[in-house]
Amino acid sequence: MSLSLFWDNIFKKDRRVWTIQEALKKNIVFKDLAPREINQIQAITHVRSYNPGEPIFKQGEVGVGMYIISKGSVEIMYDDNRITTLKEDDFFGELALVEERGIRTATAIAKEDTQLIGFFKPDLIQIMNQTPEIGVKILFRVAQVIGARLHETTALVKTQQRN
Amino acid sequence: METIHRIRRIKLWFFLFSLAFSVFLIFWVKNLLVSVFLAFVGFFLLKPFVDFLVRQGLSRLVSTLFPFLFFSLVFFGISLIVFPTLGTQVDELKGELPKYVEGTQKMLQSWESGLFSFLPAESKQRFGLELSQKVQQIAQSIFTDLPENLLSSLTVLFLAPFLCFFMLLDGKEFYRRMISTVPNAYFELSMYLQHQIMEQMGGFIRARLVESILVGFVIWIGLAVIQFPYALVLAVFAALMNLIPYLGPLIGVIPGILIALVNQETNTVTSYIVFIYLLAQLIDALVIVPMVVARIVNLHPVTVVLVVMVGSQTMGILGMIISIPVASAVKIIYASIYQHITDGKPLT
Repeated sequence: MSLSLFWDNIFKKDRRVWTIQEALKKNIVFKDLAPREINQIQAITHVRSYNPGEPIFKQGEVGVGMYIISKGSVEIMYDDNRITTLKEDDFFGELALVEERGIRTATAIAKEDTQLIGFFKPDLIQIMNQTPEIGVKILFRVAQVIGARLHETTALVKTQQRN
Repeated sequence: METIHRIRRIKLWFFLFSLAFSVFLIFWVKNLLVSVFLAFVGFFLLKPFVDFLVRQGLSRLVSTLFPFLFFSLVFFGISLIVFPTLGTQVDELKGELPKYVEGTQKMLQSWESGLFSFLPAESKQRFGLELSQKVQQIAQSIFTDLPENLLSSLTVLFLAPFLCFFMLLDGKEFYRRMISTVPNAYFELSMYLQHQIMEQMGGFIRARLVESILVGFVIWIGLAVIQFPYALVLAVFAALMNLIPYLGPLIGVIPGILIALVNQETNTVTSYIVFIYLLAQLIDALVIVPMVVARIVNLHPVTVVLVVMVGSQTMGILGMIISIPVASAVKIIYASIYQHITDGKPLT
C-alpha cells in the first residue's frame, strides 16, 4: 500500500485539470488564448462521460454548445446514416454557440467509453459580459471554423453538381 | 458498466431529491419564499454591476461586495428621507380610517340603490351589509396585521440580502455543481431552460421595477404638487400595484379616487388626480414599455389575467406579483420539453 502510494500518481486530481487545459490549448477555438485565459475557460467547462452507444445529442433537439473529445470517439449520424467518426481532440456542435435557437442538425453518439469537454453558450455569454477580450478571441475563431466548414460544403456541392 | 449506471442513478436521485427538498423548504419555512423572491430581484438588479466590476479586473468577492455595500447605503439614505414621511402619513391615515371606511360604505350604498334597484329590498339589504363588512374587514386588516407584517419584514430584511449576496458570489459555482448531476439525456435541455428562464426573468424583473419606480415617482410628484393628502402612501401603493400587469394600475388608482370622493373634493381636483394617474401610465406606456418591451415575456393578455387571478387566489398580493415570471418560466419549460419529446417539432 505504502509502496503503491510512492509510485502512484498522487496528483491525479490536478491531472484532470491539466488534461482539460491541454485539450483546450490544442483546440482551434481557444488557440488565441493566453495560459491565464485558458485557466478561466477551464473553470467554466463541463466534463461529461458517455457509455458506448449513448447519444450525446439527437438531430432536431435544442443545442447549447460545443464538445471537445478528450477520450474515446463519437459517431455523427444524419437521418440514420453515418456521416463521420470523430476521434480524440476533434470537436463538434460549435454552431450552437452562435445560433439564436440552436437546433442540432445531426445526431452524435458515443462509439466507446467517451469523455467530452463541453463549452456552452450561457458560459460564452458570461465570458463576453465579464471579459469581452476573451469573448472576441473565441467568437473570431468560431466564425473562422464556421466559414471553413461553409467553404468545404460549397466545394462538395460544386463537385457533386459537376458529376 | 453496471457501476457507471449505478452512479448515474444515484446522481439523478440526488438531483431530484435536492430539487424537491429546496422547493419544499422554500414553501414550508415562513418568510423564505418572500426572501428568496427578493434575493432574486436583488440578484438581477446587481448582476450587471458585478459583471462590470469583474470586467475591470477586480476579484469576484470585491466586485460583489462593492455594489452590494453601495446600494445598501443608497437604500439606507433613501429610507432616512422617505420612511419618516411615509410613517407620518400612515399614522394620519390610520387615524382617519373610520372616516374613509364610513364614507366608502355610504357611497357604495348609494350606488347600490341605483344600480340594483331591480332587486327585491331584502336582497339589496343583504348585499349592502356584506359589501360594507368586506370593506371594513380589508381596511382594518391592513392595520391590525401591521405589527406581524413588520416583524416578518425584519426577518426578510436580513435574510434577503444575505441570500442575494451569496447568489452573486457563489451562485455560478453552485449551479455548476447542481447541473453536473443532471443525466446526459437532459443535460443540454436543462442548461437551455436555465439560461432562457434566467434571461427572461432578469429582463422582466428589471423592466417591471423601473416601470414601478417611475410610475410611483410621477404620482408622488403630481399629488404633492396639488397638495393632496397621503401623496407618498398613495404613490408607494400605486408603484407596488403596478408590479401586477393589467390589473395593477387599475387597483392602484382606487385609494386616490376614494379619498377624493370621501373628502368631497371639487371635480377639478378629482380630474387632476385622474390625470396624474393617467399621465404616469402614459409615460410608462410610451417611454418605458417600448424600451423594454422586447425583454417582457410574451404572454397573451387573457393568459396574463387568468394567471394573475390564480396567483391572487393562492398567495394574495405576492402571488399576483410573482405569477407572471412563474407563468413565463412554466411556458418555456413546457414548450422546450414538448419539443424535446417530439424530436424537435415546435409547439404550435
